[in-house]
Amino acid sequence: MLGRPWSVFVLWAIFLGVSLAVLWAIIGLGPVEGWVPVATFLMSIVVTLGMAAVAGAGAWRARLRAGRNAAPEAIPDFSFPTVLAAISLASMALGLELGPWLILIGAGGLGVAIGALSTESRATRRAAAQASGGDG
Amino acid sequence: MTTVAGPPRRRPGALSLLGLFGSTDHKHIGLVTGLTAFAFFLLAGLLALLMRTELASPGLQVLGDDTYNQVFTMHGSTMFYLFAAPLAVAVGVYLVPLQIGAAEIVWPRLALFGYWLFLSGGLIMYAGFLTADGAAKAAWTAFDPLSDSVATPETGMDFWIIGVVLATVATMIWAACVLATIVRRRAPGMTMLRIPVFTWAMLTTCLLVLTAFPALLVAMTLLYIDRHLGGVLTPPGGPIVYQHLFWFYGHPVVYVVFFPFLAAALEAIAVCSRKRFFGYHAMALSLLLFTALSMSVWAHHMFVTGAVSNRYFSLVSTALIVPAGIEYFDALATMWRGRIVVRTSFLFALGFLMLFLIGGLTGVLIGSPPLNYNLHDTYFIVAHFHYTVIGGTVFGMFAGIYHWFPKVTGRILGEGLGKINWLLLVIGTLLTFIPQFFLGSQGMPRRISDYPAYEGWGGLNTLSTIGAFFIFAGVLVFLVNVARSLRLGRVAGDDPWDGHTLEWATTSPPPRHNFEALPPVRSYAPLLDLREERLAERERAGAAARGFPPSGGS
Repeated sequence: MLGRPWSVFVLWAIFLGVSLAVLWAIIGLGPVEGWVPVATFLMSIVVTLGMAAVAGAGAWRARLRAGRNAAPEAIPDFSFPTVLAAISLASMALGLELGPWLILIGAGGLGVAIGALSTESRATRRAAAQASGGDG
Repeated sequence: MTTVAGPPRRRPGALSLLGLFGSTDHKHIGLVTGLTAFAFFLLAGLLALLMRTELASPGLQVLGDDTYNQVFTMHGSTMFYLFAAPLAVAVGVYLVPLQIGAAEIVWPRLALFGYWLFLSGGLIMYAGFLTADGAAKAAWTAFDPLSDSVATPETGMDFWIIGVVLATVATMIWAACVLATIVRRRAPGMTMLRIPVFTWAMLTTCLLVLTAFPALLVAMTLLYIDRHLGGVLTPPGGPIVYQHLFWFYGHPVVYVVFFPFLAAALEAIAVCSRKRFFGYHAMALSLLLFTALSMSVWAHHMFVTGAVSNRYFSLVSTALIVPAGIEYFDALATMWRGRIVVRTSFLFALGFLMLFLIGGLTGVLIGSPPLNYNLHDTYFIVAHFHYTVIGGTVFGMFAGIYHWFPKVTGRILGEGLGKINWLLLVIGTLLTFIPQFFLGSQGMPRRISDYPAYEGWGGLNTLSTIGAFFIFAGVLVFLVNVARSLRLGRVAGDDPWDGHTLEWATTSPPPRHNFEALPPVRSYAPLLDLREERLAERERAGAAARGFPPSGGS
C-alpha cells in the first residue's frame, strides 16, 4: 500500500479526511467554531492531494522516459547570486519597516541576482551539454 | 582489519568560510543551518537563564518587567522559529540524500536561498532589541489583541513578524527540497518501504511543515495588516480566528521538532542494540497516523476560549497515545535481547524516551478540558511542554549529534565528556521542570516576572533555577567536548558504529557527490544486510571446511 510516494500522500490525506469527518460530525458548521477549523483542515487535504498528484505525475513521466539516457544535471558548487537574491528579498521585507529606500535597494539587488542567476544557469547548461557530448 | 589514517589538517573537500556559506552542497547547507540554529539555541538558553535568575526568589529585580516580557518572548520565539523547527528540517537536508543513496538534494539553490532567508529572519527578529522600545513582548504566540498596534505599538513587534515570516518560509523551502528528494532521488531498489526510519520521519515532518506552516504565514500577514491598517482581526471573532490559524501551525510544530529527533534516537537505539529495528512497517504507519492526528488537535490550546468543540479536540488529543505507544513499543522491542553497547548516543536516546514520556503523559492530562481549565496558563503547562521539547527535541538532538558527528566531521565525540554532558542534562531537566508541575498545580501563573513571598513559591522556584544552571553546565561540557574532539578525537573511519543505513557506506565526511558506489538495497538496513550475508557466508565456509553439510538452506 505504501510502496509508491503518491500512495503515502493519499493515505495521509485519507487519515486527515477521517479526522475532518469526525470533527464535522461533532461540531457541524457553527458561526465561528465551524468554518475556520473545517476550512484549514480542508486546505491541508487539498495541498496533500496536490502533492500526491505531482508525485504521481512525476512517477508516470519517469516510466515514460525509462530506458532513455537522461541528460546529466549540472549544478554549480557555489551560487552567490542565490545568496544575493535571498538577502535582497529580506531587505525588501525589512524595508516595510525602515522605509522605501531599503525596498528599492533590495529590488535592485534582486534584479542583479536574477540576472546573475540566469547567466549561471546558462553556464551550467553549457557545462552539462559539454559533459554529455564528451561522454558520448 | 583496516587501519585508518588520520585526516589531514585541511581535507581536500574542505571549504573557506565564504565558500561554506555560498555552497550548493546539501551537506554544507545542512551543516551551516544546523550550526546557526544551534547558535540561536545557545542565545535562547542564555535568555532562559536570565528568566530563571529573575524568578529564583520573590522580589528579585534582575530584569525590569518590560525587559522580562521581551526576554520570555524572544526565548520562546527563538526556540521554535529559529532553533528547533529549522534544525529539525536541516538535519534532513544533510542526512536524507545520504540515507537514500542520492548524490544531491533536489533544488540545491533553493535550499541555499532558504538558509539566507532564515539567517536574515533571525537577525531581523533580534534587531528588535536595537529599537527604542525593545524587542517583541507579546510572547511567541503573539495573540491578538495583545499583539495589536494598541497594546504593542513598538517597531520590535513588526520586526518580529517579519523575522517569523522569513524563518518560516525558509523552513518550508527546506521541507519541499527534502520531500522532493525522497520522492525523486531514491537509489535503485530503495522503494518507499525500504527507506530508513529517519527518512520516514523526515517525510512525515515535511508533510506537516508544508500543510501546517502556511497557516502561520496567513496569521502573520493578517496581524501585520491589522497593525498597520486595522480592521482585520476585530473582536470578537478576530482574535479567535487568529488563534485557530496560529495553533493550526502551533501544535503541529511541536511534532515537527519531535519526529526527526525521535527517529535519531531510534537509529541510535537500533545501532547500539546491534539489532534490526523492530516493527518497521508499524512504525511507518504509526508515523503517518501520528502526524495526521497531530494536525487534528490544535484547538485543545483553546479550550478556555469556549469557542471550540471540547469533545472532538479532547478525543483526538487522547488518541495521540496510540501511535506514540506503538513507537515506544518498537523502541523497547528493538532493545529487547539486543547486545547493547551503552554509548552516549544510546544514553541520550534513553533520556529521550524517559523525559518525553513525562511530557506525553502530562499532555494527556491537560487534553482533558476540566483539568485544562484549571491548569491553563500556569507553570504546569510550562513544565509539560518543556518535557516534550527538551525530552523530545534536545535529548533527541544530542542522541543524533553523538551518533552522526563522526560522519559529519570524521572524528568521534569523546565518550567520557559525553556521559558527563548527559548526566548534567538529565539532572538539570528533572530539577528545573519537576518543581514547575507543583508550582503550576499550586496556581503560579506563567509569564510573570515576580511573585509575592506569601504564596510560598520561593523554594520550588530556587530549585528550578538551580536546575537551569545544571542544564547550562551540561551544554558547556558539550561545547568543550566538541572543541576537544575536533582536534584530538579518535578518527572515525567510514563506519565506526556498524551502522545500518547507507550514510555509513561512504567516507566520513562524505565527498561532494556522496557515494563512489552503492551497495545493493534489499531492505531499510542495507549495510546490516551485507554484514549478515558475509557472516552467513563465513559460517557456511567454516561448516564446509569442517565437513558439515550447509544448514538452513531451504
